[in-house]
Amino acid sequence: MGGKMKREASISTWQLFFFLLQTQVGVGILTLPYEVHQAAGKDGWLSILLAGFFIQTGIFIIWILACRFPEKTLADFLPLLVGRVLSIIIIAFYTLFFFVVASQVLAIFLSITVKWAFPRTPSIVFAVIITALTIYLIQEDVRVIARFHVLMSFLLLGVLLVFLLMWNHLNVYYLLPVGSSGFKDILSGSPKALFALNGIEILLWLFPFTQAENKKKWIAAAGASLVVTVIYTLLALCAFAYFSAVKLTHVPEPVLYMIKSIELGIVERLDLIFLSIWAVFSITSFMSYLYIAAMGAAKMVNAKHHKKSVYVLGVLIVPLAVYTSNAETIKILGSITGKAAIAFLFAIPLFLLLVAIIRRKREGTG
Amino acid sequence: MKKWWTIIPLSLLLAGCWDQRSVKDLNLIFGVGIDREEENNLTLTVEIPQENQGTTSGGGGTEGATQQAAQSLVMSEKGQTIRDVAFQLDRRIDGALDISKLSVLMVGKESAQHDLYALLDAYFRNPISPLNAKLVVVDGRADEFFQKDFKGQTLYSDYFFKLIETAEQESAIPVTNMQLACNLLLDEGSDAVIPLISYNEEQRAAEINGSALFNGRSMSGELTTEEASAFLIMDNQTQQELPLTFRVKGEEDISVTLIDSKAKLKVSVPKNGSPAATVSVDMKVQAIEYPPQGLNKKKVTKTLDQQLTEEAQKLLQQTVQKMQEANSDALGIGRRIIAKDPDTFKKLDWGEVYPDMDIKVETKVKIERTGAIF
Repeated sequence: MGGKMKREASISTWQLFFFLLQTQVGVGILTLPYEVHQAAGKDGWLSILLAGFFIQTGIFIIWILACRFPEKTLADFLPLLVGRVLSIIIIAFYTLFFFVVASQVLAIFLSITVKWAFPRTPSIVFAVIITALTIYLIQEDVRVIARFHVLMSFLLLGVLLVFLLMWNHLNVYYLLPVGSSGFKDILSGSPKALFALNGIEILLWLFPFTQAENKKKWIAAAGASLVVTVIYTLLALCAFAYFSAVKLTHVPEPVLYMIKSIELGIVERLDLIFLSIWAVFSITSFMSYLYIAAMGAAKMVNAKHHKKSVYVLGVLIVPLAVYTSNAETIKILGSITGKAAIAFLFAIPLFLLLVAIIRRKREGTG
Repeated sequence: MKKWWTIIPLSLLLAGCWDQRSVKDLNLIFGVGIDREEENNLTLTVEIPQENQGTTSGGGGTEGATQQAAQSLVMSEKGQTIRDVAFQLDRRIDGALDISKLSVLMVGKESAQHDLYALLDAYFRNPISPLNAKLVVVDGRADEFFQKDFKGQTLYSDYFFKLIETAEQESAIPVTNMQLACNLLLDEGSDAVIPLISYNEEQRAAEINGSALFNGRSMSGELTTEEASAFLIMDNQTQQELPLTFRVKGEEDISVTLIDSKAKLKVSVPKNGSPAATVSVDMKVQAIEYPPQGLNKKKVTKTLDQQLTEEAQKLLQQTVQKMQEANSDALGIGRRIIAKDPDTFKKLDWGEVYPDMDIKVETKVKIERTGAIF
């Protein structure tokens, strides 16, 4: 493929770092400690670390694969590896996966805002406003989106502030003895953490847009994932050291619940402030997923620009998210996407890598 | 500037708000009292501050209106659940009741003795209820307490809140709120300590007179304020100040305040046998009143240190004993055993073991400062 398309806008390593970071840090912040606690008890934070380790291996696989095709996105190099038909199917699956995950993110966002802050506002209002905002941004090229993600990253400081505020109320003895839940339980908790840590697959699309040496791209991706894992683990540790074990089984959003009891002089409902910070993280990951889904969809129909597919997916996602924004469906879909994430993060890239190695495919050899 | 007109549809978006709750339509509850009744019913008492409507003369200017003390409305009602009663009350009051500004939640002593946590479910379930509200146990009934006459006070909840805050700062009661207490009520390895308030008939005033000890979810004993302070020392929870007064030899009295204290809890769990615990406390104090004076002499301070140590030891031991009698593991010894050896804890019947277990107290007091004079 000598006649390459006109090169789209590129992003820097730092932008890649924050893009991945914002995609990973999402709705999961609030619920993750509860989810892992259900499976692994007070050792749930080890499950998160374990999940973080899995993600790192996933990143490594994706990186090796992408290094073979440094100028191509997944959609561009797939036909070289597995042929036209299979490549369309794989792209379709990836597109569907990102679309469902985006809808899942929006659904969780809606259910939590209804529960915590806006019980009387119909959720479709939020769905429309957020989707409209998202469409407005993601019809632009990758650089614009990355800039927005970088800009919003200062809010991570707000998450770190939680630790400082909670410090006096933490009881380390709730965490001891470490590892008493047993390896099996800790392992079974990590798929739940995978959903929250999910998002690194978009590296398959962002890789060629990043202008840097391959090694630096890997550092950016691994670094972003590491930062997210550490933040999540700290949050879980914080929640576990704050709530006694029995209480934790009652609170599905432990992070908000924990912040609710803090008093700060003038500010009374700190949980609402945290909720708005969290809203930004949710929206940024919603944006990333929908953007990649739109890119995939555009590729499938051979569109020149992803603008139109953004509009179509945007219209489709609102009813889907509103319809699925109840606790039961979220749970069912969550377990499905959690399992699917393993396939899309490890299995498919690993399969493609093996094919590439066996068939000795590299950029230019096609 | 072609697209200026988009401002019009966009501004329509801004206007939508289903969840606004304007203060003018609300009746903010500042204080709540809960009592259990027979047949699983309960009585809810609420205190709502009222605006002074029509009480100011028109020509008096704004000064008069702001100077006047806020009035409050106290109402009680019986019903099946807290929210059931709240809706009943709502039908009697103009404007919706709103819990989001709650500052004090009081529970009658007898009601606290039978599962306090169950009474609070409504508040934990509602995301707008402020869980940093103070939780107190009332000596007597909560509804009667709100009906009492407090000299010079009009807004009772505010008065109680300030009373509790001061007592917290002077380490007479533990710093707690609904959320923090709830954690301990539900913990298998430690128990809650919640402030106790009572009415002083003679002075017509509310009085913090110690703390309620809990065994699991129910109140099972009481500590005086001195004992509560002693508990705080042993649990490393002391706040800015902690005054203690002892009678030492020669019928002399000395008041000291804590500068710094360190408490260490050591728990040993032998393989076969009952667990034992040791609390060692190291206190550095400042003399704030000692009429005989002469604290510059080594001999005087040495004997005083020794006597203070003895007296403090007595107080601490008495506190531990009371906690054991109430089967209230406020120091979290059970939690330590879980941390060390969760399997052993499972085998222990903690409710049976704790009251009789061996808890040693080791105390050391040293006068470090003497104030402006010796």
